Amino acid sequence: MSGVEERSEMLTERTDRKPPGAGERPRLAVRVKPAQMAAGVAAVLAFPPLGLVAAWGLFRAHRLGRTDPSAAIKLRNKSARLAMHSFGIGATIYALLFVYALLATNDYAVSRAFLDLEVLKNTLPMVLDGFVLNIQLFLTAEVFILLCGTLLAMLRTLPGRPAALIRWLTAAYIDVFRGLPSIVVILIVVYGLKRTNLPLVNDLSDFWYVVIALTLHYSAYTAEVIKGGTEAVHWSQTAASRSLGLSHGQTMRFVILPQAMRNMFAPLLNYFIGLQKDTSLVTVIGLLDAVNQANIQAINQSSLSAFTAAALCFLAITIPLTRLADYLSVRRRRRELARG
Amino acid sequence: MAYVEIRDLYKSYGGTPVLTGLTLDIEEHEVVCLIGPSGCGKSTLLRCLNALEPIDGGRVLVEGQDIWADDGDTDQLRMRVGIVFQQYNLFPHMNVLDNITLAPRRVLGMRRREAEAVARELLARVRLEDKAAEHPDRLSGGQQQRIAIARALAMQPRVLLLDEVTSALDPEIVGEVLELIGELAADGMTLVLATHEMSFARDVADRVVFLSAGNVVEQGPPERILTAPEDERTRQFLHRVLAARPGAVTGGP
Repeated sequence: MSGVEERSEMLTERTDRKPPGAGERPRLAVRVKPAQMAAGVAAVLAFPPLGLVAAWGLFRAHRLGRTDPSAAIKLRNKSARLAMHSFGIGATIYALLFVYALLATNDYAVSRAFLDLEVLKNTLPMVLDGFVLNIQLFLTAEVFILLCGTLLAMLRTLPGRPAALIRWLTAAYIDVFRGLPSIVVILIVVYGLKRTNLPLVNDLSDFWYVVIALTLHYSAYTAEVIKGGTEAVHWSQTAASRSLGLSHGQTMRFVILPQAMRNMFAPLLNYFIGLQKDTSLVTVIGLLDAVNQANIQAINQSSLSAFTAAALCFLAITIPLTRLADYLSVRRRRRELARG
Repeated sequence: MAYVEIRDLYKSYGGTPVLTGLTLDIEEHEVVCLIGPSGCGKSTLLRCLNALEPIDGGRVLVEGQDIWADDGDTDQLRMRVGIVFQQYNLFPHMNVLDNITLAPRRVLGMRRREAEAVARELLARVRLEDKAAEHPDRLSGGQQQRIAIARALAMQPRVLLLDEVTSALDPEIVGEVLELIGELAADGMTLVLATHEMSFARDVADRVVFLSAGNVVEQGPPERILTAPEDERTRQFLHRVLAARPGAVTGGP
């Protein structure tokens, strides 16, 4: 007996057991999916008033599954959506309660320590003063990072056997600096370079030492992003460009990099955000940035609310940048979908 | 001396031989069609002629000069040999005019106005003069392929390699590209085509070359190769093509 016949016989057997009037085609019993059951349980735990309604709906859909599949599917999907809603509402309530509890325990100890509005008002101007240094460091370092990162990426992707040594050297550089914590690089550069008496770099201000350290560190990451972005451009673009007589460098500049740029914005922005936060590491070498100012104010005013002021400064920059990075990657995905 | 001479060409990808000692001459003003089953090395051969692929053995001579020789200028020689790809490979971030003028400006050092004048002439030739400002993704496949041909012609190549240029196109727009290629052939352009369009090969080719397993099996005028092949492999190939698409060889339905 062939496989097809075997199968069709099994199907007829199953239809035979169906209640009369179920139609010619065999219909499967409607099942509540595991994820929907999980949502039901979560809904009951998080927000019982709605959660129980949803769970009851799922249960009834399960019972209905044998007799009236289409009604069962309708009820099941509706209940699963309700379960997800209840879970969300419950989770929000719990989160708010948790924050309130945190602030209110021990007679509002936490809120007095971190949210003393009087202290916040007094310290914010000085912390903001310090924050100017963070911004300056961020912007200055970023320029050098983009320049060095691009250069490193270009060296890293030079074609041909004679360039193997150059590729290897840049790869080694990138591996080393990606592997080091940025604070170690800052300490080595600031305390190390100052004592070397090397020409050019021995009488720079601490600001420039930090810029050098951050550039050394972040250009390695940036180079990887740029390299990845150029490699994501399909090789047929290189073939087309080279076949027209353009050199490797011209191909990079006019054909590959402009297209790679779109892939690079979002990941680069993420590293910018990391850099922005890492500027606060200058506290360890005694520069008066926002965090260091906050530290001093916290001691003077004996209130930790000064740190809250510093936190607010950073969040004011990093949250919009994070949203922008997210928006850019969503937009890129949408465009790719539209094109494909 | 033929314009392009291929001598004993070897090429393999990661140990798999693709071209196995292939020898072929291409004369000026000749239209040569390469036919053969998938994987027989047609596309690889074209990419080797344009120096897009390093070769493992043998020589490729253009105007008597080895394109890989140390004393030859690979970029100079590859400019004499233009190539058009199956997937068009237009630059998606540039409009049509910039696609065509990029190489003339950057490689030949033409001024923008001069290059654009040439580009507009070429656009008129491929009958797309109104698309100069469009981006490639706004054009149909047939239009993109005609732009790609114009882009290759802008470098004034002596030979144009066409790598299955109609294979990615919808059947109803294949005609507009083939028509353009026919015009180029009539103008005396040296063409080397890898193609599956047997009836087109019969119409435009001066010579049909049948490749199998990375080598030339037989070659000759289209009438002889397509209707009375001598080699068993050619017969089998044509038989399969004919079975898949009746009328493909004779041109009639």
